[in-house]
Amino acid sequence: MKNMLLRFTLNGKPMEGTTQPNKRMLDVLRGDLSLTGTKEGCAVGECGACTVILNGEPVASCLVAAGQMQGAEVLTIEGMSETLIGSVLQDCFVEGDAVQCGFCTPGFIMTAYALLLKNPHPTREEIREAVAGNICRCTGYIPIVNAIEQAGIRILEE
Amino acid sequence: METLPIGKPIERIDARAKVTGRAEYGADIRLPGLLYCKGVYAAHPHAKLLKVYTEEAAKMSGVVCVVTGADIPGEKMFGELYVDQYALVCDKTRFYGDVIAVVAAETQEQADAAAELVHADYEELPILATPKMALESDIAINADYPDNICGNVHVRKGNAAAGLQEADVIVSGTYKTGFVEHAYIEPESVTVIPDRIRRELTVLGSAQAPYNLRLSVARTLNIPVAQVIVKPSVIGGSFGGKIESAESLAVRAGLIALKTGRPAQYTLTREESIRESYKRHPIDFDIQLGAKQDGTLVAMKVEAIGDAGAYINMSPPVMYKTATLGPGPYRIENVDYNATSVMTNNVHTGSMRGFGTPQAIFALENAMDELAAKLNLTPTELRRKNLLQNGDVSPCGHLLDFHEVSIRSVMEKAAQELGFDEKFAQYAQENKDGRRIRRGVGIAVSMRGASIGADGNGFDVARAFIEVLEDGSVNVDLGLTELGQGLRTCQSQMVAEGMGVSFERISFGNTDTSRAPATGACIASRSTLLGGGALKDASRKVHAIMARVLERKFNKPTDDIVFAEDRVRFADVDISFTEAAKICYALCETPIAVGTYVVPKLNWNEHEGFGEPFYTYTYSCHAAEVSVDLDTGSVDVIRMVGCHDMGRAINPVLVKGQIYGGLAMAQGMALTEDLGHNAKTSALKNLNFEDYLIPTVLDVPDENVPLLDEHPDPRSAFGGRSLGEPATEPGAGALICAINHALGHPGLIRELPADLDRVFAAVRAMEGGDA
Repeated sequence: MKNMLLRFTLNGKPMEGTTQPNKRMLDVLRGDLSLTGTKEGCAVGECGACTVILNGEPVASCLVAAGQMQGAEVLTIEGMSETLIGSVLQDCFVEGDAVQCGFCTPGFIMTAYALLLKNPHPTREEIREAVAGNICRCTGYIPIVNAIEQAGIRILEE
Repeated sequence: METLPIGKPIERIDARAKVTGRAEYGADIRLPGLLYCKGVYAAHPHAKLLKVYTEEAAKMSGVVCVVTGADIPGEKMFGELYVDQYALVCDKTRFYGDVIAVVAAETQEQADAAAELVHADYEELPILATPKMALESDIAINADYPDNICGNVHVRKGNAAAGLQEADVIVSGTYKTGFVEHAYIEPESVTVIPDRIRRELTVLGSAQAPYNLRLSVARTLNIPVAQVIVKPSVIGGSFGGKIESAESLAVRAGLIALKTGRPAQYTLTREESIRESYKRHPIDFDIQLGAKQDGTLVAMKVEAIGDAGAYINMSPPVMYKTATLGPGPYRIENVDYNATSVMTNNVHTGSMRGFGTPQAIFALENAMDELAAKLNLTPTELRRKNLLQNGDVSPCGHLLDFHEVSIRSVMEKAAQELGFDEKFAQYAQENKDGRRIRRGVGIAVSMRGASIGADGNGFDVARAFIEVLEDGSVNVDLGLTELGQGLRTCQSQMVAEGMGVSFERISFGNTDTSRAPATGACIASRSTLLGGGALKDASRKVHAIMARVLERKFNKPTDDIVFAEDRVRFADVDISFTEAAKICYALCETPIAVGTYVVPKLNWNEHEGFGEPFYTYTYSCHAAEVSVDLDTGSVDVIRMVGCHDMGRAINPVLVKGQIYGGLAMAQGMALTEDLGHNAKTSALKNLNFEDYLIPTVLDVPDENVPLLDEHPDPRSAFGGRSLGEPATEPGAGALICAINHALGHPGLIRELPADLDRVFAAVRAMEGGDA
């Protein structure tokens, strides 16, 4: 397949490069751009470890083709510290012991970011529904839901 | 006064790197000239491997080399306790996860494409896909084990047969469990870097047991152990799973690194990970339990057969824990617990959180509920009559007079939090009204031996390195790995207390086998006890060196020296720890020590299966509440409570994290996790998360509660015991007890997982097939 010129915004900065349009977005990020904060856990869209934000929506980047990134706004875990919601989420994940092995953590934070963007003060049930596509084997989820709930409260206060 | 660092909820030292994406896991490693590997799997689970054809693959674009078993320069096999495992098949395939060749290429895509061109000639052998088939067959999977039995532990106390005859009430029957996948979210990834000057390899990646890994690489690739340097990356979960599974990748990638002189990365896809990594043992239990009319247990007789799969891995020690801990935390005079592991052509089984006990506790605790029903007692009433207390003798014959035997208070706390007794009565009553959605509660208890136990009598050791630097900072190198459980944070807290300095002074080095002395692995719920012991010993030795130097400097006796709160005090001297460190360096002394801790020799009679199987124990209880839809077979977990006595909680927040996670893992094992094993072909059908269903946030109750019942253990340097395994151990048993309570028939569900089909079938059988 012919390479394409890909232009998109990554964590607020314009990016440009050639890639194959059918390449997975996950490989563009982890491979071409060496942004390894986004993780690969299953490659079939079931685990959520590769979640990134594409035009404001959380997506499993293992199921997105590079071509779909054309002209898009992309946010990854590497850009989260630069955002208010992201940095508060990071603080709350650390403080709330929502991180154990940490492999699922970037995906959870990205999903939570998308949720809080639309719904800054979600209920626990709304949080649970939002992160239902992210799996974690270590934490039993409750500390993660606590952290996201806490982030919602803290963002409203700020 | 500053409070001591232990017992404080100190923030996890690796959390910040993990929430920002900076933490580097195995597959995140990028190096110039890195090669990517792809394995080729056996087409038959049991077959002589006649010839492997690699020529076509080798010619493909980007391919740098293709290796087979013939290329391994040293011993062909590796293994932890039993050297029987082929990283690359040499003689015959033993299961579907065997690898016959590995392709290394400039890109992963090129390696993947070329791997498809490798093929082989096989001479097929009969497939032994169940322990029963393997026991009846005259074909040996491993010639060293002609009857296919690779492990047996037989615990005996009193006379179980006579005891059963004396019993007023007996329950007997079978319980079965299935294969369980660790399902760490990070699939295995190993990177091996060859040294440019000498025959030396540095191994990075997801290695739970780095010292074992270096032995395996040294053995197979003919390199001195000192020239295999293992530095585990940040590890994305393990639960016992990244031991031999990481070693086979390291051997394969190491072989490629040696042949090409280039670094090689070997990352498994999820399907490959599930296909080739070892699992939790499926175990069949044939159980007989007898009691007096008043509920006093008199005898227990259990035959347990575990499926070891194609390689032995940890099967014998797993059977040791099944047999020694399977009898539970009960006072019982007559015990006969015989656990046997049998090799098959199934996926191999090995170490997984709990190590042979979650299965056994599931079986025993459901049999206990059957017994309670026959005696017209509630589950808690029966347990209250029989739970161990201080000064009792354990089911294996261990006199428990050395710490608080807290299982009674542990159970009461869990029962109370769940409202067990009230709900047990209430649901039993309301379920009689014909409703189709019924609720139930279940409770399960366990005692977990810390560390390896007498199975490793005399060689259960940990070593740690502590170095005080001239600015008073303290460097620690410890070979126990951080797997996400928070080990680095907890061990740093213990060093701070041991050294008498503030937490901030502690610099806990990344695990590196060339810096930290060899230590037993971070397995078997041993790291708090063993690591703590080694750190305490190293602290004492460093203090002794510093005391000697200070005595010389001040010319005053240091017999009364105390290191506490960043101060050093002796005679009339009171100086800062930093000052003391500076004096050591000014006088050209070396405040560095290696600490060693060995678990004291245990009085265990291996032949009689009697005595002290472990040095100390953690006590646990899980209580569960469920609802069961009789028309669909679906089970909703309403709430779980986990109460544990882990001695002293070194970091209570991290302890609770273990319990939350352990409850969820138990739920998956109990209800949904099924690898889709085919009992004829030995193949596994469910190789990814769309079919292998681990609990999601919507499955796990938001109301789960972790509880601590702390009684510092005089047998542990800092009072703590490990909780990794106990945190999941009784959960599956409690859940099935709860389902059986909801269904009104203790012992109705007898096989895991209790998924939709199995519960629906049980309900149909219960209702006479006319539901």
